[in-house]
Amino acid sequence: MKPLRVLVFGLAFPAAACAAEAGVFSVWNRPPAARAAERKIWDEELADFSATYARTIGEPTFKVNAVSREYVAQQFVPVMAGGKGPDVAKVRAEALPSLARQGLLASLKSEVDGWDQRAFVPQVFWDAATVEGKIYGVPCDSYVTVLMVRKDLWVQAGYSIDQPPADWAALEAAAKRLNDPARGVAGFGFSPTIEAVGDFVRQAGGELFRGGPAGWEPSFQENPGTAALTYLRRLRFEDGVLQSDPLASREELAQLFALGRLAMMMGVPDQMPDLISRYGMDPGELLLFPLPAGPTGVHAAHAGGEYFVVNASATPRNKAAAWAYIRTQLSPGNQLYRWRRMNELGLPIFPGAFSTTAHLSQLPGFQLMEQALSSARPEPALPKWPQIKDDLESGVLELLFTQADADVSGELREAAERVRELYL
Amino acid sequence: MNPREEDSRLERAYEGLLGGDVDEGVAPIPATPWEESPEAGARLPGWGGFFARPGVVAWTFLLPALAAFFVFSWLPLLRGLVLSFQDFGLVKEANWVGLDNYLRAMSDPQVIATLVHAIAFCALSLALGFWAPVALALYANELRRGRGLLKAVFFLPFLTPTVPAVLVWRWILDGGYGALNAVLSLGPWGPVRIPWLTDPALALLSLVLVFLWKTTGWNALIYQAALRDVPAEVYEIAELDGTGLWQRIRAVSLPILRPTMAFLLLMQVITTLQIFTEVHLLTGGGPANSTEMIATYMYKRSFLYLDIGYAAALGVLLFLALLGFTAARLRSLEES
Amino acid sequence: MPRGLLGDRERRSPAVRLGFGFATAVVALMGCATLAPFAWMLLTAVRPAGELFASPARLWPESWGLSAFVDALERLPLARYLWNSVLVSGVSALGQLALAAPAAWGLAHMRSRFKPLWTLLLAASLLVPVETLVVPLFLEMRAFPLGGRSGWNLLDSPAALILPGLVSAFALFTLKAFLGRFPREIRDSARLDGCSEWGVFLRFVLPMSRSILTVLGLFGFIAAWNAFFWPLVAVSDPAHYTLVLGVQKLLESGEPWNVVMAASALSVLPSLALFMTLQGTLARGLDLSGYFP
Repeated sequence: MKPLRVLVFGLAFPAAACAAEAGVFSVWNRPPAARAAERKIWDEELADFSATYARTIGEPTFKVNAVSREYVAQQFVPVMAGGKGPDVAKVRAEALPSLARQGLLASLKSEVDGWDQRAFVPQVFWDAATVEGKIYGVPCDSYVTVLMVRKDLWVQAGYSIDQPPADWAALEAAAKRLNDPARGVAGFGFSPTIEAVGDFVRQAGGELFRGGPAGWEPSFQENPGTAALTYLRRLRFEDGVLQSDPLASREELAQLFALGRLAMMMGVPDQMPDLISRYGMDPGELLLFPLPAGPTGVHAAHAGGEYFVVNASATPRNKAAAWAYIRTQLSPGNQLYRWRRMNELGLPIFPGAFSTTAHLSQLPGFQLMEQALSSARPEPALPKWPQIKDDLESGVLELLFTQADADVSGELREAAERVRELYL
Repeated sequence: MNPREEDSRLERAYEGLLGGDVDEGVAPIPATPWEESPEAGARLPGWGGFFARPGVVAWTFLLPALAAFFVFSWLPLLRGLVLSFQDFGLVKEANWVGLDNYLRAMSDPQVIATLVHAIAFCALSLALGFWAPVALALYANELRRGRGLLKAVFFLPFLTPTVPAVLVWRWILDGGYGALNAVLSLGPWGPVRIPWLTDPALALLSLVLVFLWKTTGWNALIYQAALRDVPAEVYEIAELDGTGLWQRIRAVSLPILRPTMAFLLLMQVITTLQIFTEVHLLTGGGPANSTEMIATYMYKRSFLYLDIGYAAALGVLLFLALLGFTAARLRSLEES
Repeated sequence: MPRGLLGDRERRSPAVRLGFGFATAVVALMGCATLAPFAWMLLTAVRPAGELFASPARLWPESWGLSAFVDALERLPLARYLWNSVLVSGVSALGQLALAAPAAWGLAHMRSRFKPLWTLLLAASLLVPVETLVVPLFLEMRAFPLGGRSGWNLLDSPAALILPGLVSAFALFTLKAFLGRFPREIRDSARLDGCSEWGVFLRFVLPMSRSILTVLGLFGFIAAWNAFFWPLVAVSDPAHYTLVLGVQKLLESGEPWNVVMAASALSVLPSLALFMTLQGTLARGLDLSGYFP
């Protein structure tokens, strides 16, 4: 009965395999194969941690499963809830409260309280990870939105590399000058995410949401929001200087930018490894400018960050290993090692690769970070941020950027009503 | 029995069962269950007396499948039903909310929108692609040579895994850099930049296009299989009568195909109501939710909004809708 | 010889020849449209990334190269994903048949008080959309078999992908219709000769149903190979991805289109090769008009 044997084998083998793998300490965010140099450094750090931790707990067979995955909102929840997810992963700051409230994250309060590096992390980052008095994440890096410009196209158009576009009008003019449909170059790359739109709303003097832990109110439907969206829609529909796909994702924009099909784009320095290693851009052609000021002269960008989180369903043994891993990753020794290796391998140094502690702020290359952080503000810490983000993006923003004749203020007001009713 | 005799008996029965000339086929004998036949009283050998009892034997055949169905099909459905009356978040405890989820579902504009999209999708795909497989099958039936090549070419989309195929289509339908726009730009009207996937009106059309690409060959093959059953005499009579080609098609081919058409129509409605992969990969729910279908909405609500009770309620409603539709269709088929 | 609408004499008439020629041209066009995506997939995969974004797209690449394939092989552990897919699909298909064949025989020929009930329940499960089952199945797989607080966590393993694929009401009903026409005399005479019911089934019914079993097994294999929704939810560790899931993740992680197309081509080839070699059986199997009304 050959088929029967195959069947039994087919079911028994994987069952045995998964029994053997149960309980292995698993870590996410290993850099993908496309970013070979980064992956090398990451693997070195992990191997070092593995060996040291195994010695510490006296278990020479301590194994770590390194998984090359990143946080994707819709997929992260079943992964964590499935009980076989990572023990340690990095998630974006704005998703953390929602995940914590859903019961997917382990509380790290006792560990963090006993951590000697605690005081070096700015308190505002701890607050963003605190839900109902318990701390659910450890801040590991930060980023700020900047304007990325291709040096070759910028200089060719006659601009100086010391003169970023100062305000909205200048940005529009530059985009029009750099836009060259005959050669397939678009002037400005903009992905209609709520964060990117939020930057422009702040530059117009307003906010996406107003309030605090006591209560939140949508304010994107007020005049600054309307002004920002009108400006962006003008860039898209009347000036025609945006990329051809109105709903292009950040990755698609990065590809186009690296290949010279986009002259400017809104991005974060964290994209630099992708631009250089994965899409083959020459690092010398990259210019980083701060975002322009709005009509009222307000400079604004948004600051975000990532947090290490621990799975709520991790076994006590794995939770201890997770905390040891986090501590090791954020320790001064490890951070310096990383900085040295990145220099050796010729990788661009950008703040997003390093911890938010103040250790490295004296090192060269971090001054930009200091400047940018001064005008950057984090996302509103709304409890249901991933859901609100999805609702607004697919409900309103996609509509406003694909329909030329949409009524901006009407749509925004409707969206505000809906958000207020459903999420706040 | 002599083995050779037994073989030839088996052979004849095999042939009759699987084809050969319709006239000479072995007609199936109406079954009296073995248990009612006179031999049943005799002592049955093998497997011991208990297991040879008719009822028990039937159970040993049915049990594995029924157990599998119970665990992997009926139990989850039941659990889904239970979940639909609860408010559940995958990790925390569930609490009962009664009919709350259902009431919310019926007044949720998004749910109504997904229904509208599903109906539009079904109607469009039928309007644009119902007759193409029929015509293809009729054509293939006339071919003397080259039928194999035709089958190979048109069956290919069905054999291709959905995910890579849909990804290719996403790249082809890209507004700025896609091949479809490139091909259309070859005309005298110059470069064309139709936003196939980013215009709310066109996105559904693009979905229909991909769906038809995938299923036309398969449908045509089924029609062709049905057409092969028509005996030659019917056509010869029609030809002798001097009826024209169109009348022949209407009088002979279409009635033959009618039951197959009804069957495929039913399958198409069921498939279009449940479509997920193509939508998720091609448009992700569409520009401004314009191609959100029931399945993608359920996925989003389950795992992004963690509104599992609500998604379960939607699932139950979907199941009931399919059940109702199928029952109505079968009843109308019986009546006709 | 089977004939169609057009008689032999008719075919020779010039009007019919012209019409047929026109129809052939239309069909050829449709055939090109059907094959076009495959051609474009290959044409994109041989391009360097710099040539991907011409507007409008250049149909014929200016420079050729296999660098995208090299990258795809580097970034997509093809062998591992292929093995996962083959394992899951193969065991699913075999399991489906192993469960459905005896049950179909039982339903077709055996008397049981509950037969109408089972038939009804099985027909209902044909209509259950996979989306309805995803979350309950997820809970069940998390704590097999009861899905409560304790049990075996089968998620993230091939078992999670295989087990739900073992139930196929389609296979069961198709086999039931087919086996319902099984000649009575073979079974009766075999029983008279001293064969047990299972003996009849294993020694006579199965060998004679080989062709339809092959066809249904192939359908089951294809369905399991193509499955996307459930694997997306059930598998979180990339080591257990199936091939189709792996290709989609490649795009999601931001790989450029030529690499994604190369990976797609690599993932399409094994399945196509397999299906093409068995295409003869498949096409023959479709001629069994026994299960279509």
